[in-house]
Amino acid sequence: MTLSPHRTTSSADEPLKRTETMTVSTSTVQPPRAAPSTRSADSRLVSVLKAREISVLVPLIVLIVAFYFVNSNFLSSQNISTVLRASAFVGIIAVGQTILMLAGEFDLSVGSVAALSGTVCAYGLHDWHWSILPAVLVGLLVGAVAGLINGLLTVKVGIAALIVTLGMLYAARGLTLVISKGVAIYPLPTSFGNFGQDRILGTSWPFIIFVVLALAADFVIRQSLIGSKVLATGGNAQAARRAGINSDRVKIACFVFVGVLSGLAGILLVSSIGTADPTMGTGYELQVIAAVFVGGVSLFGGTGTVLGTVLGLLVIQAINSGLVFLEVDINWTNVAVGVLLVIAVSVDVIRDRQESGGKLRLRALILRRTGIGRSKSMAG
Amino acid sequence: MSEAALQLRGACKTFGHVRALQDVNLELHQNEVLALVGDNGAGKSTLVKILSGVEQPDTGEVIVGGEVVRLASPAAAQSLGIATVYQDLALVDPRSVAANIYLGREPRRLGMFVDYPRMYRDAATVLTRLRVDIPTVRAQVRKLSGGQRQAVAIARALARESNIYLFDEPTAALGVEQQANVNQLIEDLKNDGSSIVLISHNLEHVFEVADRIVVMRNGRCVASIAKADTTRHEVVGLITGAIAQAVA
Repeated sequence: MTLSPHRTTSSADEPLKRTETMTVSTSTVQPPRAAPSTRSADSRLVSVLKAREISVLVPLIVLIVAFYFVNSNFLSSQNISTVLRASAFVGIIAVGQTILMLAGEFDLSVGSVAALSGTVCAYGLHDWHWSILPAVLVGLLVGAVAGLINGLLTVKVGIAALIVTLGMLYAARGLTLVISKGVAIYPLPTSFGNFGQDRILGTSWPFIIFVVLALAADFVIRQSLIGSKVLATGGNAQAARRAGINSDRVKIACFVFVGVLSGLAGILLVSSIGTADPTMGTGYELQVIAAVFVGGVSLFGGTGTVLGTVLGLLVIQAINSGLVFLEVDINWTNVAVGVLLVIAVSVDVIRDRQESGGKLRLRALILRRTGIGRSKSMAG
Repeated sequence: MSEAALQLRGACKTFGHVRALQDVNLELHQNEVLALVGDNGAGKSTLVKILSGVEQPDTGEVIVGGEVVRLASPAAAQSLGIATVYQDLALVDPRSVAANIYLGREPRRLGMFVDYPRMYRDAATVLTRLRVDIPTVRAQVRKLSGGQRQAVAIARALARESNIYLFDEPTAALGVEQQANVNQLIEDLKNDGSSIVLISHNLEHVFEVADRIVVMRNGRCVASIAKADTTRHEVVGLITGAIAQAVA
């Protein structure tokens, strides 16, 4: 660094040149929203427009309007109700997956764990004549244990989450088939089935549970100490550790949380169809991850919201439902969701590249997401 | 001089085949600015990592305020009043300036919620003390320049209630103005009764603020000299090995 008063402004020290006179502009009267500054990007309107949710909300509205004009039945109360009720199960899992991915990890086993929990619960009810509460609690416990195993192997042993949770995907599905002997478990107690099938407030209990969970999780991430720890861990686990955050424990807790919510989704699914089908939840993992990414959770960890995921899920459900109304071959929906997913993540990568000065951090991303090179010696 | 603020006795640390520290003794007096100098790989950063609880020595003990302590984690070191500015800054890029400054010790509301309005206000106050031009404490850290990022890392150390500060290359990415600010800051901290370990390659900086200079070479402390008793020439000689050893 030279003393030349005419030093040309490289990008690194350009913002420093007024330091002798300027103090931090936010020091005295700090308005509750954005701070006054040289950056127009920080005005309230712009910061609202820049929120990641907006980039999901706008396409969602456009899709809904477009489908409505093609076929007004798309917005019939019956269709809306059907779409929302169907989204509850994937949605509940997506709430947990969002938080896990904000913490910098992910879980592929959610669909299998949902099936295992639902099957264990149904088996208890049907074969052992348990009452509902213990059966549900044991089902949730199964989810928690699966999540704990995923978390411990990933964080403490240091195996990549991709491998650990892929293993759990197979193992939990296999156990489900072993327990159920490959056939659906039914009949289940009427009162158990009623819970999942009853209409309440024009929708279903699973959907209400999903909405309540999503709102609570969104609030926790935005406002609570736990949320702050999760975002710090996902943003830079080493920095979080150095600031005294037990990032290992945060990640393990997030794995357990996803496990419990997967179990809950599985149990609710069994309740709503009145049967424990051992193949239920197949493919959920990819639907969940698609919703999270479409909803704007960053590939790089540390940014994103549960609300974004909810919107992402609605976009996917709108496409699924809308294409049916367009009388498009049902197989095209997967193509549409795939294209959408890639577009959404591309936007994220390009945005990240612009904001971090042009370097495409693809290599870092690959290393991170696959866990290649992960080792305990890096746990500084 | 009363008992040492911070003391390291007989510390050894090996990474694989690399002996990063060999029987290192270090004593930071109360209210002293101790500069730690040495070539790359001399063991300075390892020493700081041990004192900040990031790494644990293979052998040797750390003494804080006269008591042998175990710095099992960064949290343990922080609770003993040791604040660290790491060379890699240890910032969480996607989080805001304020969230980084108060990372791990956010002001709370009802015990479990982060008091964000207070955190933003407090962060702005800390930054004012550093006289850094950061547009808003809500800005994501990854959008800042190198100098601003370094300022955030320093602000984090300042925001903790500490009496021992470890600065690992605090001015590497700073402009001239900020360097002067950091020097002033170190003076201020010292006047407030704190003790400071400063790692720097910049001997000009070192001679400006340090009371005592410890030179490391190949994982050993080869000299511990009061600034008044040495010259830049001698320190350079000690760093490179042209002068073998000097103990004042």
